[in-house]
Amino acid sequence: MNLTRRRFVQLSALAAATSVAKARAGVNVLAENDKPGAEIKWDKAPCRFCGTGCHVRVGVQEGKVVAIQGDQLAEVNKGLLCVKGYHVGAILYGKDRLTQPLLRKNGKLEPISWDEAVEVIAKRIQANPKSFAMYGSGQWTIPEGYAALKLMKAGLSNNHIDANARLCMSSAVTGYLSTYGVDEPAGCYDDLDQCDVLILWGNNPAEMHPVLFSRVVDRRSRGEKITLIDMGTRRTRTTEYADHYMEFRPQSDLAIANGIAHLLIKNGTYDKDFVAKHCNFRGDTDPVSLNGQAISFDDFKKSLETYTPEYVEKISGVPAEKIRLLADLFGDRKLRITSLWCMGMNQHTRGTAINRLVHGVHLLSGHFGRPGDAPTSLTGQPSACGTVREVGTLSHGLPGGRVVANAEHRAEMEKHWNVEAGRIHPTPGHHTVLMWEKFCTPTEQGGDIDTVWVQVTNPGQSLPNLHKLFRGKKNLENKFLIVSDVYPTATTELADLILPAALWVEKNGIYGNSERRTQQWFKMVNPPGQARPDCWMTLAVARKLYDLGLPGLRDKDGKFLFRFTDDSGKEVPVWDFAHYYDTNVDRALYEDYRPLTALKHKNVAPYDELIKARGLRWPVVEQKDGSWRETKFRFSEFDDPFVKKGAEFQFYHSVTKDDRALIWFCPYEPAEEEPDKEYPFWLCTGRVLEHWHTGTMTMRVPQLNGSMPHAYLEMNPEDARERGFANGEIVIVASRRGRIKLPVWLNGRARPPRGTLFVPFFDERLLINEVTLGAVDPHSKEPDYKKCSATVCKLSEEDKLAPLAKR
Amino acid sequence: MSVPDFSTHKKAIWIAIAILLTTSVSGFFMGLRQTNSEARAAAAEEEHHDNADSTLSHDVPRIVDYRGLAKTNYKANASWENNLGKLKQPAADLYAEIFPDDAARDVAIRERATRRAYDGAPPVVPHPVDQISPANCMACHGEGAQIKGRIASKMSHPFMQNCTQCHVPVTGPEIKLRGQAGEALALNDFIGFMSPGKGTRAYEGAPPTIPHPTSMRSDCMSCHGPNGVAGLKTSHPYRQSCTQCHAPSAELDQRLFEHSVFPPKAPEVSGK
Amino acid sequence: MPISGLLLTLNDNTVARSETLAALRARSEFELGDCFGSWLPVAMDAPDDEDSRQLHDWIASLPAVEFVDVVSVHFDDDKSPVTEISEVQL
Repeated sequence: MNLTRRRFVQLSALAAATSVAKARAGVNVLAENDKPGAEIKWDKAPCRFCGTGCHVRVGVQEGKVVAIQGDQLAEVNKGLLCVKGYHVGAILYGKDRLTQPLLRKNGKLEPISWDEAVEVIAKRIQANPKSFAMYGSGQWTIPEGYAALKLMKAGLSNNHIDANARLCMSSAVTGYLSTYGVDEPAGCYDDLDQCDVLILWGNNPAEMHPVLFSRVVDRRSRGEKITLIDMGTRRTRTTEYADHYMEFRPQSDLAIANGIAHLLIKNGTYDKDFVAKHCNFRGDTDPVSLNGQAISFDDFKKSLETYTPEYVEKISGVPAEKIRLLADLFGDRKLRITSLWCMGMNQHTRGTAINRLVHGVHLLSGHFGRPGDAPTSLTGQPSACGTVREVGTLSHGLPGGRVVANAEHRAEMEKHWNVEAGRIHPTPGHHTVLMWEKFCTPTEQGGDIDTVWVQVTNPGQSLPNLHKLFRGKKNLENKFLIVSDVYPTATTELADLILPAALWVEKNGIYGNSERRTQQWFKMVNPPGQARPDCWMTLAVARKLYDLGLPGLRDKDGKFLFRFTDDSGKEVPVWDFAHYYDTNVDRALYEDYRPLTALKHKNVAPYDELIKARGLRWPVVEQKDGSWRETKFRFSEFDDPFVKKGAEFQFYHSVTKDDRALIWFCPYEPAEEEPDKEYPFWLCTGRVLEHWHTGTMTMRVPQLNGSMPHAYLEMNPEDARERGFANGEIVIVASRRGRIKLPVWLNGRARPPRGTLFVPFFDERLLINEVTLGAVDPHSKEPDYKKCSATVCKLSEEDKLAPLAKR
Repeated sequence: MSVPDFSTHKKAIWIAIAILLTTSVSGFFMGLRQTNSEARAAAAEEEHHDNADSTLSHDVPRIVDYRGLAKTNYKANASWENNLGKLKQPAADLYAEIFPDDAARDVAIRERATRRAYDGAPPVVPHPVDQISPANCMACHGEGAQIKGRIASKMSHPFMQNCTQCHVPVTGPEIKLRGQAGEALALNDFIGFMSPGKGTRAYEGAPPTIPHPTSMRSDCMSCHGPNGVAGLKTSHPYRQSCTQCHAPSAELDQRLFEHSVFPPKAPEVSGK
Repeated sequence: MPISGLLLTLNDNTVARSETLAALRARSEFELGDCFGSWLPVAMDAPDDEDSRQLHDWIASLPAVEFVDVVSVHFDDDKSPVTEISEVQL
């Protein structure tokens, strides 16, 4: 079309005015999309965020994600999402996506090619394979985690691979392992539809698992009665829906659980039949060990004697009659009781112990294994279960519930991977906190990790005690940090090499949610610029190492450790990105991994079944008619195909090898660091509804950022008044380890009791983890982010604070 | 001359101190509790008194400084009123004549779009909310309300209990971190799919189809009823059964069950 | 013969908006862009400076218009075609 000059000027004037209008409205484009809905292509995917595992329908138009719907065919969410889920499409389109590999040269990040980047990593590993570590997360897809694990444990004979799930659910793992002998919940979300009583142990699902929370409270709209009991250290949005709120002193949840057990036994209301048939009793050894030692029922009873309701009240602050109320509920076998917990119980220096106790209360009272009767831990990441727990991407783990310390397990994996015997190192590698401590310690002082490759996580923000565990890297010349990510983060700030990664539906993937549900999705759009999938990066580095002649990258027959073939059996060079999508790498890796899950009866579904389903809950077992059946209630005869006929319940991986679960006694013990004169407050950290984890994705979504633009300090208004803090005033939060400045928010999201502080950790500009403790649970090595002692003061009083502890 | 009764004096002093304390403490807390909306309301009232020409003060946005004016997108309480007598809404006239108007619909749909990331996204809340309890939402949105031209839509999914799970305030908490606002981080190129506007008609005079998904929008009257937005209102609110004539889309409502089984093949988008 | 890009800030009274849009559409001097939230971009082609000023005032008097920003002005005479972009706070 020919434009006259005048017309051109008119259009330019209009365009200029339009761009200003757009900028002011803060809306990107509204008008250009007036097209009928039918042109959108819809496909399914699990949500990118938490461990709930909602399915979304992703609407793609002209190669871009343009809309999201809750998937009505998904059992998890039945069409509903939370505000993060509804906006998940926008996480792909933040302005500052990383789009090319960047290498730090003389302190400055400079663009390099992928070939160069892969070579830099490979040479770094080749120079010293033993001092290389990989740090991933529960956001790794199953194939990504499996490839990384195989590269490390089989390729490099190196067990220094761990995942951030260590920081969020490893105490749940040790709790399940030491109670049932095998990880992951017996129940599932169906319990939420059936329970009469829901007990939340230090959990705020109204904000953190909103879809599951709605699944319960929306039952009230249908006229159903659910008794909601909120046990917590501060009043939250969840409390608003609760029938009973029990506010306990931090750390004293162990006393409450013991108090319930005490009354069940004293009142004779425990389930004698269930206990006699299906349980053994267990206590700690000295020093403590994961599986402890057998104790008798009388020992158990005696240990609990001191935990009278009055004694529990003294420790926890929960009135004795409320402890009695809990014991009466558990003592009533007619009720269906479900317990939920998440970080409150897991990020706990006594995390394993409190997990055992909550399982114990359910087992002792027989509230187990019937729909609605279940102790279930929730996860915070989309594949903490699928990738980290099931694939075993932890320093001690191997796929399918195997561990490196077990010779049989090693031999099975060596056979499966076709490598010579002895290839897998028998000693567990460094767990997360130790890995970063070693990385931040000079080599000559025993810091035996020189290079860390971080994938899909942000330790520069999420590790505790950041000055010690992350910033320490800063002045160490020979330490090298490689980070694959989608946006600049607190971690990329110190990175020597940054790799731009594909995100969510920009690649194929498989996740596993909190209820044992394995979920698959296909790539729907292209990643921006040169961003590529993490799985490809791992395979490309593996191939480069093979080319450089590192012997570990060859199997027994001298072939490359990772072989992918097309339909005709010809090898596909997937390490060359031009050929990465010539075959479905996800399917190949997953199908290679799938048989490994049978050992612990965690049989995951075939890839082709996953394609058809909105996720399937393992064990998934093939039926006579060739169909595949998922399992909702593990260890229960009526649903679990692996339970012997007539057994009713069977804990077939029992620690004691007699098909029984263990009821533990673990005493209450004071926290690692309790408030004192100098640091008189408890400091707790956590999440908020709008932001997920370190906010890398959600902070880039205008609707979420607008609602919660920065972190804040939540405290009791009385405490604020005493210190003369006004609402919104910037104050200092300090511990022995660090201090940060942030605004006080009074009467905001939650109501903390006197003497407690809460700061969310999503804000990369206000790093509360410079203040947190980093003390870990002895079994799970999971740090306690929920408790440390801290103080607050006005900006003008900073000089009165005690000096920081030496780093 | 008698000696002053010391005990009476003491009592008076104590009462005075008590009054003083009560006032200061409650004043302090009133100060703490003051939210943005209250502050804005107060400012609006102040300006109202200052302004001799009160007719002006109604429609002109009251913003303190010029730079702020350009940025403000939030005028929820601009016409703040505390005279309850003036807030009464008339009963909806179901038989009032409504003339469908393309321009007005266009405006209404664009207006809707400013509060949604894409058509079907939960709208953000254009006013501050009670951060901890959703109970207050229902006061206006439970049955819907129209007060002096401002519309609080009736909630179209009343079985849902946790309002703030999906609807978050666009304004954020009342505390602000100056100089470090995270807006820069939130620059985003996401382009949401927008409402196509009208449904389709089989022929002139045929009832139009429903152009949007009906999930969470089961109560048609919350937008199309007499208390709805001009431009979206139905011309026949007295009719009760909407879907008798207006067909929803099976595609948008996820009722194409044969599509639920995804064909077992590699995706069409290639990564190259 | 100035051509200007204007940015109108509209109030949210939908009735007033319809009237305003109709009034603008009825005049050949204006070309309307797509409305974003409260902001409507408009291109105005006026015969001369004086008309330009009067049209500006007329726009400001429309019922839904709260504010008129001048984004750009093009003074279209043959000798010196100059486009000036005013500094508008984005």
